[in-house]
Amino acid sequence: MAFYEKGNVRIHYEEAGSGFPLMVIPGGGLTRRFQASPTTPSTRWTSSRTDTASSRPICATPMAASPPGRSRPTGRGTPTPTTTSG
Amino acid sequence: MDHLGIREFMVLGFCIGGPFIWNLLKRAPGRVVAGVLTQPSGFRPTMPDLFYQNNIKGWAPALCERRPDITMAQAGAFLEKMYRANADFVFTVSRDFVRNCRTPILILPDDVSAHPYAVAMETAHLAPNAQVSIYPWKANPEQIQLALRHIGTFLRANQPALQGHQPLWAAAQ
Repeated sequence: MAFYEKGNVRIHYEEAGSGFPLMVIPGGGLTRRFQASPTTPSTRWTSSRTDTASSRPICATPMAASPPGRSRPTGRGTPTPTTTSG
Repeated sequence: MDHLGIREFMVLGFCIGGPFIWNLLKRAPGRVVAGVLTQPSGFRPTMPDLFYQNNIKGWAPALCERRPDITMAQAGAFLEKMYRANADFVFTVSRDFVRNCRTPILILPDDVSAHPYAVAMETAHLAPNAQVSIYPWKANPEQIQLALRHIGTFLRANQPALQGHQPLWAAAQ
């Protein structure tokens, strides 16, 4: 589990496969998570592409911002993606 | 993507990923090589406050309960900016922007409340290098397989030739 932080923004992302980079933005509303049902089209597609090794899927979900001065958990932990809905 | 040392990339987005992709194309022109907008979100005039109301009632209270440092006022301000400040079309860019966007785009429409078919098709007609996949595309496994094939073909066709192309992430290795 990887995170990128800048200011009070935190983004959880995962990388897989190899090849030309492909950013994958999951759906599912503001409560969306990477680990959707294995039957969802997005999961099937990402798995399929990873198997072909012809692209490098990068899945990113911005996290809720923390107020200044408040630390966030780092490294392994339970992410709480809280961005944007569809 | 800067963090990962990636300059150019393709993008595949579901739902709100559609508006996000348009925003990426606006904010990082020249970096998005191709985009796939799957069941993209959009503004529906007959339900103009759909996203705000759904999220202020559903998402925001749960978020504030889970994160006591976030207030309902903050969550409301976020939703206000996201869904009411530019309540039209795809929320993030104008029709003129889409009309002038030459990036190859593949659109897989949907037609539920949050994913209006009319907006998806309007973007397809406006964007000069857009194409549309089948619709419906997820009613059964056979349709999904056809859509996957189309997405894969589209991405492979628009992937820059690796020979002579050395993005930052490759140069760093």
